[in-house]
Amino acid sequence: MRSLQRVMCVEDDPDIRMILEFSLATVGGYDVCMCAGGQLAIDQATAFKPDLVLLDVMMPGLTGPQTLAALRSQPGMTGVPVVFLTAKAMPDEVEELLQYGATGVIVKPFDPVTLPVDIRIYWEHGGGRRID
Amino acid sequence: MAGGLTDGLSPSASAQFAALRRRYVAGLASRWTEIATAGDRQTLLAALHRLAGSAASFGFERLGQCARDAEARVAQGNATALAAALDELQTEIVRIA
Repeated sequence: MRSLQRVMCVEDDPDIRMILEFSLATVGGYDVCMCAGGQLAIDQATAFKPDLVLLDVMMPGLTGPQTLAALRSQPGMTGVPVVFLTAKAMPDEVEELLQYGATGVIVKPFDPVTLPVDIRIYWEHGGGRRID
Repeated sequence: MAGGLTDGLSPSASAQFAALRRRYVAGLASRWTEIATAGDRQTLLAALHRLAGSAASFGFERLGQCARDAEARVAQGNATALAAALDELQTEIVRIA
């Protein structure tokens, strides 16, 4: 099994992108590809070859679920774990997100120091566990 | 959410986090303008939602709570309670800035 090294983040809020970059690159030591929207992620996914995708749910243009569906049809992206990032945290909403085929859901606001470990847990165990 | 967000970080990572916090604080005035000038419920909710989803990641837990409280008041449709929650939010922004 490959190790978790390459993480693609899809997030429209510049403040969240800023803290994601710090969390995953500086604290976690991952190679990070930061995308401001779903279409950018779709365009870059095949070249970047992410090991895991962290995907915001509510975005202008393509939503998180729409982006996930489009990513799945890109070469090499079929089995890549996708974890949704959302400020909505009601259990039924989490269940709905998992039904789109995501590995898990991480709730905003997240702790930038523990996020690198949280995504590694999803990488290692998968299965749709919720972390908050 | 951890109490001491940067506990255990290297000195350079802590310095980087402090710089990010300063950038975030520098943007709060325009965040507040978005909230204060929102012309409709959806715009107001979106601006509050965004603040609620980011503040605590930068270590501003009280700010995030104020934004969540205001978001809930918008959803409830109680104008008086919303005005009070927005006052609290503005006070917290002024305190941080």
